[in-house]
Amino acid sequence: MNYDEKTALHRAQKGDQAAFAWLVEAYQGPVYRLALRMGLRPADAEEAAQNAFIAAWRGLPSFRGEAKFSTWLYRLASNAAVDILRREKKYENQWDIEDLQRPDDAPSPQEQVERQDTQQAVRLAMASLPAEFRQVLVLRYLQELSYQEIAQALALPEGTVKSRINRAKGQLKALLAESGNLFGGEAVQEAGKEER
Amino acid sequence: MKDFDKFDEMMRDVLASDETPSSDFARRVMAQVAATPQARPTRRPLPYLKVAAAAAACLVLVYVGTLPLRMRAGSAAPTNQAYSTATSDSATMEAAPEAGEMPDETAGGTAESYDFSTDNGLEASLRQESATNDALASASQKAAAIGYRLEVSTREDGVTVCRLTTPAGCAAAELWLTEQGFADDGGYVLHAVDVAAMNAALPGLSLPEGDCVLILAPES
Repeated sequence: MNYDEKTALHRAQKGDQAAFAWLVEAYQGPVYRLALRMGLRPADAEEAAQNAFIAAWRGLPSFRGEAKFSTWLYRLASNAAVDILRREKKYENQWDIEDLQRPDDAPSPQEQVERQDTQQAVRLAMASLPAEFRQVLVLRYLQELSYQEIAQALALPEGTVKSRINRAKGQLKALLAESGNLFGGEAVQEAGKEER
Repeated sequence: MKDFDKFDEMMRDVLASDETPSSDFARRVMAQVAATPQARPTRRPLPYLKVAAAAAACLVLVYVGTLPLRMRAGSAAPTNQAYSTATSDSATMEAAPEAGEMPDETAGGTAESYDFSTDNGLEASLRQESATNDALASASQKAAAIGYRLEVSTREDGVTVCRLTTPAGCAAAELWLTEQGFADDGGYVLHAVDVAAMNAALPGLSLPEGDCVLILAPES
């Protein structure tokens, strides 16, 4: 059945499972990616996403639309991801700083490869940040939420969100600098070119 | 700053992805949804309950904050404030004899206001009530004339309550009170000496002489 989000939401709130299935289809990608970028492995990211959708289904009758549905759902998803990160011992100290070293094998002339290197370095660095820092960075840069929306999503004051993002960025930059990746995609790529 | 812009761009670029969950993800979620009842909606407390709770809290604060004042009033002689505009005539008639039963030695300088040995006690108290009303009205008029809108009343327990409603006046009064170390506990408990000092410090403000509770309630 075809819905628009408002209708699907309204009907799902009344217990319409078909309408909720529409919402799951619409949001499964973003929610899964959010969990993945929080540092979870694919199977755990699916578990976090599933937990978020079940929490959304249970809580929908009380959802009053004060925030956007997506914002609320991202909160549930990021909380579910944080729960798994804390629960699973395998995520403790999984990344050694050595892992962040830029590969020094034969440099590829292809920008695509450089970009992948940068992505890998940043993702690894992110994985070593505290869960609360990853949470705000993912909501900010992956979901592109405003500070206000993040504040709504995490039930935090906007000032706390801003300072948490700044601290997270600071730590990330320090980690990248420490690993020789400095920061910024271009910075990494340019550094690589200079070395060649 | 430029570095931060670059950094932000890089973060968006790095985090962007088009990865999707496995193809049967939605089906698995819906299977679990089918077995999960929705929670009953939570009822939000009605706003008027919040207002009532806040009002009750204020009353408690005022009551507690004015305890010393009322204790003083209780141990002193009955003053004219005991027979206030807030008190009905019948209440006044009941209150007068009670006041008259208080020992004369505690009455101090105000004892001459009442002649308890004669039948004129009630008449005297009514005269005092009238005088009090005049004084309170005069204070309000004076304050209003220069920008301090003041509502003065007397509670049943004899405490004078001054309510300052001019925003600018409230701001000035609050500043002065804070500087003097007073705390707002649903109102400022001021003794006669404080009232005199405040009147002197804020030209135009004319709180009635004597102890009072000052409430700052700016009204736009």
